[in-house]
Amino acid sequence: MAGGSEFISINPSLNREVFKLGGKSLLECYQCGSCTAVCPLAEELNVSFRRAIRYTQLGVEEKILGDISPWSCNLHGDCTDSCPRGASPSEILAAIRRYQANKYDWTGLARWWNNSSLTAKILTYLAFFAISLLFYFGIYWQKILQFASTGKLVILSELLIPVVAVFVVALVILAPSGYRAYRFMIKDKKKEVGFFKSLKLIANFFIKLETESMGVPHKRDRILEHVLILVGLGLFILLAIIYLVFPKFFEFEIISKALIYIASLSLLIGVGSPLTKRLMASEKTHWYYKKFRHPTDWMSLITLFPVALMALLVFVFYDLSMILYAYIAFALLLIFLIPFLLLEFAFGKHTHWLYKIIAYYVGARTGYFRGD
Amino acid sequence: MSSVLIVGGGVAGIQAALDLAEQGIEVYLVDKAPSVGGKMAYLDKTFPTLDCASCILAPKMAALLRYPNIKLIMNSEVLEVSGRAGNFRVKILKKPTYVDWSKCNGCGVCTEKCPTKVPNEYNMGLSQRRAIYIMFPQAVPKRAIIDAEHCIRLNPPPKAKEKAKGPLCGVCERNCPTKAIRYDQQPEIIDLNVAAIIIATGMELYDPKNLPELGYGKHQNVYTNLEFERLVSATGPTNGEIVRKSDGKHPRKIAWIQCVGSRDVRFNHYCSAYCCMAATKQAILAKEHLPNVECTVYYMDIRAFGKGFNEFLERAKKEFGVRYIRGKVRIDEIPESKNLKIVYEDTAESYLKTEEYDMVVLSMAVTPNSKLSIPLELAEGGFIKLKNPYLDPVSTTIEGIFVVGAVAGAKDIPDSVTEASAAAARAALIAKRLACPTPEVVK
Repeated sequence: MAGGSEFISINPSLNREVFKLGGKSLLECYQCGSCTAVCPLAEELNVSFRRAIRYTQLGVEEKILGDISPWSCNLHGDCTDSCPRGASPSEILAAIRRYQANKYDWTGLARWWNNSSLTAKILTYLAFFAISLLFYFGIYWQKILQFASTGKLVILSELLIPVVAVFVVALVILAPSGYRAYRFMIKDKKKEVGFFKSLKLIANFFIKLETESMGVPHKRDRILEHVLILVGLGLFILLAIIYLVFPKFFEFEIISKALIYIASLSLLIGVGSPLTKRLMASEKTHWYYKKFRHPTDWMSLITLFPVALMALLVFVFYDLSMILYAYIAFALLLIFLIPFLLLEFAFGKHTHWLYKIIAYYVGARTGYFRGD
Repeated sequence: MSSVLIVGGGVAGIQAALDLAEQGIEVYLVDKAPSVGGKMAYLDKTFPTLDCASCILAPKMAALLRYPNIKLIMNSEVLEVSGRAGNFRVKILKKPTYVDWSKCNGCGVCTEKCPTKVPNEYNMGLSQRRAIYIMFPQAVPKRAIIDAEHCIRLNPPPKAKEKAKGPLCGVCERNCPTKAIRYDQQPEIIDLNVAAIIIATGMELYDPKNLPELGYGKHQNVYTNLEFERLVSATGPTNGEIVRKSDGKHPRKIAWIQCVGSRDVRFNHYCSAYCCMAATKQAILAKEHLPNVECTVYYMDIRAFGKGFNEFLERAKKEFGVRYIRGKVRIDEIPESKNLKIVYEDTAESYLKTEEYDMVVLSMAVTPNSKLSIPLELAEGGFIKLKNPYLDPVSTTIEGIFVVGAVAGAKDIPDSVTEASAAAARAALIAKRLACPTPEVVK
């Protein structure tokens, strides 16, 4: 193998940890490589999922920490269908990802959050929720009543401040983790491709992959849901920034309202659809979701769903002229956002946006994309 | 002195029959096919010595006819078994062949004159036979049989039946020099009384269509290993010339895919035991037929466990330049050329690679022919359960019924023959009343 020190240290507890993080079938693998052969990504990327699984079995932690292949996995699950050992390679990769994220996180909280059970997660979430609920209604209740009496939904910046602060805190927490991830991933690799060419490679890769996946119903649905969530979240962040910087934009009521409705509806559908499928999953319908049942998969949706619901309710109430309810819904939206940002966004499954971007960037710069 | 029934006339059944007959015991050999020979009769060469399969098998098959105490009951099935060791009552259904075998001399005139063409099972459907046919040139007994399903006389097409006044066709009856054709032959029930039974029903290939990622049936140039065996065989559909189904050209690159359906929790858990060596043998045969062909074997593990097997493998690598690559594959067809693109991870290098081949051969798993009318216990994988796999490896859970060959567990020819002789010795003890088995009634 290229690079690295002459001696490789082994972490004997690595496979136990990955097992605990959801990679239940880790030790089933006997290295036939059929997962890589059937993977739609592997033709475009110079990655070997089998190798990542092998390193995990052996406990070669230093190879695992810098491995970008788990982050390039899109959890299609084709490998699970064709595994001769009945193992679930995509689930193992998801578990390796959790392990990597735990190690990238400098606070050590991610490790606790990812390892905890669904009950512990929900209880923690509820505790955070209760705190932010008390905080909001304790401080802002009078103001909400005051605002509501104006009959307009305009003076919101004051309410936004705590959430923006929490968002900044989450980003501050994430930034060093992201840097650590970058250091781990770039280690022992050479930058071979220029910056702009690497961006082009990533774009080409995504276009090709998404076009191919659109032919398969369950993959198409997942891509659409993911795009909806991205559009919803992205639009909301954009609108919040516009609101804080250039509030006059909201005087163009039709455009701003249309944008707000698009954002909240796409977020609601993007989160609601996989959540309902996950709840209804059986052998016959939505069997795909049977493959990924780790608590973090549930929490990422459970925490985001009320946010999406409240976002929609704010403007529904506003349009029905129920201003007080609109304010309450808005306050609830922010209340739900706080535990989401502090738990899921900073430590949970949602951190994948950061690590994935870093992994793709590192991959593109170091020649992991075959590209053409 | 009582008799022994052998169910299945493959190489194991033949060996057991010969061993028993030599001791003067009366043997009934039942086979569902019109000829003995079993799966070995399909093979061109055997591993690890590359001996010609029919040169080994044909003398044994012919020897069956020399013993007056061997009765061949072809084209038949066992319906019912009752009784106990030393005294089994067996009911056998002898299906009609529509040819009086006591008169037929196997001249083959009827098979030339018959107007109906049907895919030839012996060549895995790669060539055609007539509705009246002799199973293969070395068949024992070499007798003709009418395929009632395809014969115009026995199963006339509905439209022709309405038009015609009398019976249709009848070409074989008119042309038969010995007047052996009997269109009115009926199924027959044969009752036997035997002391012991040897089950040697062997195996079938697993259905490759269960593995859609390999594209068998969808891609023209993907073959099973038994099809390829017929293709290289001199008695095969092309008289031993290796050509592609799609364009009739010689392949320049052939790939073998190992463990297709075996060692796979989705299909069969067990290792099929013969395929590593069979693929190596076929790669060598391909090299002998077409010296410029490139042969590659994709494997998960190479299991060269038997005597001379590893040397055979080394010979294939060094002398014949057969490539071995560790990795499971996916097969895509290139629509223009009908070539096959193999996508695999070279697990030695951890790198996904693609390579184009003209022909792909799937080393299929075997499944036992264990759906019998005898209430025998089955073990994992559908194989017949052995009484004691270590110390009594040919006895079933019923006293006096023995099992040999691939129906007891996937195995190759030498192992099957060894077991056959062992079972013959055990059956002879019962037949000669030297052993007194504990009475155990078969329901």
